[in-house]
Amino acid sequence: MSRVLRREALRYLLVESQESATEEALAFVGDGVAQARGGHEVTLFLVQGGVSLALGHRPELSDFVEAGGRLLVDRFSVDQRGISAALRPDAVPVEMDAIARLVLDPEVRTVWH
Amino acid sequence: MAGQAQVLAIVDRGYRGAIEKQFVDTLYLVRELHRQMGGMDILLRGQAVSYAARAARVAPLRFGDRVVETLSDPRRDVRALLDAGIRVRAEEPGLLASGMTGGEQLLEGVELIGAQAAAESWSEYRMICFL
Amino acid sequence: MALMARRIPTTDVLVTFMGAPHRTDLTTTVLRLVQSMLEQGGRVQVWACGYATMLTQQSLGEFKPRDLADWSTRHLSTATIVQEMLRAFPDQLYWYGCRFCSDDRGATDHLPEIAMRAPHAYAANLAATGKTVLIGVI
Repeated sequence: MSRVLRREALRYLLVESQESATEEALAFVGDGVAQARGGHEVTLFLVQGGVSLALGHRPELSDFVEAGGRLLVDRFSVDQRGISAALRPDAVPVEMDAIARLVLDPEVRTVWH
Repeated sequence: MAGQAQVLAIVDRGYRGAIEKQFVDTLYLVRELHRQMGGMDILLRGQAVSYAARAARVAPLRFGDRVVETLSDPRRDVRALLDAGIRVRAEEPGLLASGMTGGEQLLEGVELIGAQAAAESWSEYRMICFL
Repeated sequence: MALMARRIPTTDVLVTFMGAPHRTDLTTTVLRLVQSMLEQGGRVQVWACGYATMLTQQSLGEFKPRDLADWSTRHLSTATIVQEMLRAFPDQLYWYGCRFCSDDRGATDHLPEIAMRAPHAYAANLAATGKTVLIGVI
């Protein structure tokens, strides 16, 4: 028998730093979709090579946003690559301060990939 | 350096340490290898294509009380390669994957090349390597 | 003989940093995150593991080797950057290094500000923080 899931809503910060081409990165987005659909508050932060996930129209990210997830991208990494004009419209560029606030928040669970 | 380069170096990895590498990254190494190996052409592939993105910029970062303005800047380094007479090409699939739509979004002097044409160019070189 | 246990100052966050430098921008990202947390008044401890222990070696010196193409510009070493962060945030930032990982990589001489810790002592650091984030792989 599977373990009973916690019922109260949790808050998650998922950080994707891996290249988007990998299956592992997409599996991690899938984790975020599952948590968001489970009623939890999920922020997905794309940084380093992970920002390339926000280019084009990846259905996995659309699923994530439709499930209520919040999609943030690291402005430094985006500027490094000159890709700000090509980001999907639901991806919000942020400075590191926004992520630091979440990491400092004791109620937010941070999962780094 | 005039004439056909002896070596084609394919650069398909990037962004390998802005704070710890600063100036001494793959493209820095290329300048020296170009001099010592009888000429080296560069093919930017995959995520490294954005090294030549015209829109790229690197913001300074603060650590402690210090603002560090000498971070790795691939666009600067690509320009240095071009100034040194090194041929730099960018592969089209990587360009598209990097969110660019055409060669006009690359630095002036960087040539856009299709993947098939890039592969066919191997026969023009004595040596092919990945950097 | 009983050794006196080191007192681990309590922090809001423990960053367990296991990524290798010179491979991705992970070191840059982690240092940016730590700096931002400190600027917001957070108390942070970093436990460097694996190749992340290489960042604070004394042998790195104050600066990186000179750029032969730009002799007049000096570039800070990671050891200096970490040291300057520690000095800028004296009661907020603590930096520990895993002694096993460090010895295993031949990096045995660290900045005096870095507290080297045996792997089994990690639990005391965990006990002295509100939350823990693991970043990178060993």
